[in-house]
Amino acid sequence: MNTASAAMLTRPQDDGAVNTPATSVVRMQGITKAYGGVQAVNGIDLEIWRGETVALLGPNGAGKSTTLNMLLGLLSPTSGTLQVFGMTPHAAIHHSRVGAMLQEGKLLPGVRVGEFIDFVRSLHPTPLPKNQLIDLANLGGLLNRRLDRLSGGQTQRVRFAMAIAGDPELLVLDEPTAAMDVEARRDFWASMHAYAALGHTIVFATHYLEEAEAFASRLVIVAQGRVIADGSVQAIQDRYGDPQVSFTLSNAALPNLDHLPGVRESEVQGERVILHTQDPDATVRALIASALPWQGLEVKHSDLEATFITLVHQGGH
Amino acid sequence: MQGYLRVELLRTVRDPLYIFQGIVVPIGFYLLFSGLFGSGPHAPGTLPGTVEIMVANAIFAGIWGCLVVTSPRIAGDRTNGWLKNLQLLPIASSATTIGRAVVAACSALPAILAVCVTAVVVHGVAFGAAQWVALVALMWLGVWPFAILGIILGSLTNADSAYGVTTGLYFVVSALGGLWVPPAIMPAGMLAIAKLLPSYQAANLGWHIAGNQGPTLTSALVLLAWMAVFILAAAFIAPRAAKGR
Repeated sequence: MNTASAAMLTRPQDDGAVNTPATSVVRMQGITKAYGGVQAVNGIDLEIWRGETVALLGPNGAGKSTTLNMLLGLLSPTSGTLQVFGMTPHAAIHHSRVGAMLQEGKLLPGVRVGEFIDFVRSLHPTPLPKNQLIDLANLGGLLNRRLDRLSGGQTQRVRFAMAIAGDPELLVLDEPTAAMDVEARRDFWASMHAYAALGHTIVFATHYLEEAEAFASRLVIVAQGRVIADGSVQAIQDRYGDPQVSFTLSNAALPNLDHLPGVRESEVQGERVILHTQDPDATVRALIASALPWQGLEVKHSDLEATFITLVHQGGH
Repeated sequence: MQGYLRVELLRTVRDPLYIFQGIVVPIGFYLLFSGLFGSGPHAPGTLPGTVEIMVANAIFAGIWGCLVVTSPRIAGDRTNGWLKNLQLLPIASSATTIGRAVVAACSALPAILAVCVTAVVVHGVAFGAAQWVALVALMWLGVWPFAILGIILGSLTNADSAYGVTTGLYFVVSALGGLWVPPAIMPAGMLAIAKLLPSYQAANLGWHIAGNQGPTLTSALVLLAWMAVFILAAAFIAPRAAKGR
């Protein structure tokens, strides 16, 4: 049963690493978290498999950070069970199997980057080789700089090095690029690609859709403390997206268009006819073959942003 | 734990607050007090003012060395999120707490030495090598309870309150402990209170060594009792504070 659901949930990676029997990395069952009367997380079931790159997407206050904090053992769930590599989050961290990067939190003032890297590596039984770590986190020019004298983007690079120093199988990132400018963000994702290519599992929270779309193999969309959609970008768009074919049809009586291939629903706005379709290509072909005097044909493919907004809006009701 | 010790020590020697308040200020205090009260004649069987004030100020400095690198730093680390980041690393919270206590104790030593060296250079205070070693070692051991107290205070306060609460308590325990006025001129009631305090008993260790006497059992017992109470309290409070949001 697990392999079947894994196949449904997992989109095969380019390198085929997940074609071997899937191993569960994270298993959350019925997780809830209430803080002083507010239900931040409201029953999350989530299984993450080895080799996946999972984006936790949602509006602010959706429960992403709370979920990640529980995954890291920084918060305890109010109810539900949570296992990371079959153990508690705390144990998984102490076995160097999980590395994480938080959104905030200062590092040690007065300590130099190189000294800090040595310290973090010394805590792990099999750390990444120092040179590889420096390369992956792009810290080459910063080793003699003090941690309290780094820019926001540089600090994030050190946090990233701290997260991967133990060569963890699971890397957890809470809005890793929130404090970065465009260039730093691009460099950061390049580092992350390099790390993921080593076969690691990555879970990150973000509210940048384009980052999730570009980088994640699987999206988990969260709203109001619940998972409202879960799958690959393509699967989510196929299922929840709303591609539209529209055209102007002047002064003619509107024929029934709901029978056209792919069309789910049609509407009229003034002289404009909008067809909500599952298959814009088939709908357009049928329109061309028809005798309808349409003009100004437009095809609007579903984009992730529109899908996301629709989903979050529906999820809120 | 050595790795953690190393970064905390590096952080300490590069911390301007510690260098200034832990080393420079005590030298200034010693010069001030010894200049004002230290030069008079002294009765037989009592210590010269320059020596008595040296011991009192070395303890005063050592206590601050312990407190300044623990309490405000721990509270700040918790408020600014470093403690949360530390929880993502495979290091036991007991190891970091013990590491901080060791660093605090180490921070007291330069402060104590700075006051002693100033006493030698400025007022010509002189002891034999063995007596200096015993004096410095016992004064250093005497302030260790404050290393643990600093951890407790840092766990109970936040970044905004830690410095004020710590300084306030530091002044109270120093004044009541006879570090600012010679115990000989303290009223009997005040002296009775002083004798219960670790600040007084740490200095008392030093006064005894400086006066060619052995340390008293009372001093040792009072200091050990405070140490035990502080360790138990810290073991209870520190892990809870580190975990709290």
